[in-house]
Amino acid sequence: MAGVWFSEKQMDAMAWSLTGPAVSNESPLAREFEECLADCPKLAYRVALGVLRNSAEAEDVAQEALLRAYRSFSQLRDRQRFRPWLVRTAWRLALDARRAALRRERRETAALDERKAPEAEDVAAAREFERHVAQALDALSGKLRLVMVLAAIEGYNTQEVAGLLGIPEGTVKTRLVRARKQMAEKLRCVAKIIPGG
Amino acid sequence: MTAAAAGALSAAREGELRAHVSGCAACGQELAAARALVAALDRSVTAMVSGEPSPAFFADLRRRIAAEPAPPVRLGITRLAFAGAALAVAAVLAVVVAVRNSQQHSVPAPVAAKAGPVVPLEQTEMAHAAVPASAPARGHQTRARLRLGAPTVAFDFQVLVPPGQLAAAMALSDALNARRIDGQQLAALAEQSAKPLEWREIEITPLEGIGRDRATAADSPDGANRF
Repeated sequence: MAGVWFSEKQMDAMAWSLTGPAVSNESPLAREFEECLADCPKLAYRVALGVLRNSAEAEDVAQEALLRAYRSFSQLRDRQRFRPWLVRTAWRLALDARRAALRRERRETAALDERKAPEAEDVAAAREFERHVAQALDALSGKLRLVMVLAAIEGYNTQEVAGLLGIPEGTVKTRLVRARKQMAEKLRCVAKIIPGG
Repeated sequence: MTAAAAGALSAAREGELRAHVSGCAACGQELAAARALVAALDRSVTAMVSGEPSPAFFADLRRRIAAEPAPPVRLGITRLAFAGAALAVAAVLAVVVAVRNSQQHSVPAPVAAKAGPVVPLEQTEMAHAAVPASAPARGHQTRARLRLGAPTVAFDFQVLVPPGQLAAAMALSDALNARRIDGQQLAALAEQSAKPLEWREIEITPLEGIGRDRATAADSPDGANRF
């Protein structure tokens, strides 16, 4: 059967454009910003999600990153750098939000622990493994962590991650290997609780 | 084993390991476990960033962007050649010096405003290779960055000014920020950034402090300050 295949990025861009123009004014710069947006809202969201692991907080951060991008759009000389610029903004904002969330969590941890409901063993094991993965990810250096998150976003291979970060693809691959190795070493002690393992 | 599972071994070491594992059941199991661990952590990180934003996310984003004022315009002229544009820039600077002098010192402006011809940027770019011998070498040009900020409009642009004219360029910046020059008219010029850029004369209104009687003929040929 014949058909047309669209990548997730293309679908995101189409879905975004179908909801109408984001900018109400007719200035050339505003129109250019609209063209640059395409699949960027979701990219910014997922970058933030990789740090925050909380959908509502990731949405807030992504929106803030996109608004900042809009406000500063005129300062961007090379429009090809829009996506890398947005990724870095979302990343930094997410890290800030994460730090704030951690401070908040520390205050609330004791109370939450007391109210935890019992879970099925496999669900609890999966959650436990996810928690360890998240901790191992957080323990990576910023460079390794960003590459690990971007490479995990669907539709972004090492070549595209290299483009987003403005670094050679070989560097991306090297960082990915190092990130995986460091994380795997931290997770060896919990290998017995691998979900489905 | 972890390094092998993560793909961190060189091809030679990988080959050695493979050869060993083929004859060692214990190491084979260990390697398989390490690979399962790396695969699981990859799946876990992928799941972490695979969430979809809510439909409200896009609607909220559109609403918030629509509520923002239009982004400020930046007019970049980084390769302005002296061949044509220097005349216009010199005229601008001369007028600013004249405005400043007439305002602060009440003395005749040292340089009479001499408006250059309208010079499309495309022409100046093309003429770049044919800079007149009298023009200063490019290496001696000074890059001045001027910024105008106002509640409704903000933009900045860069010009290359001849040696010794940096102070005049700064004076232009001061004049813009102090609103001695009509920023709206400059902004209107900047708004045309999608079209070929032009330097053109703009009428400016003298400060109230500069009386008509003080706006002498030295300010500009027709008695009005020009930019």
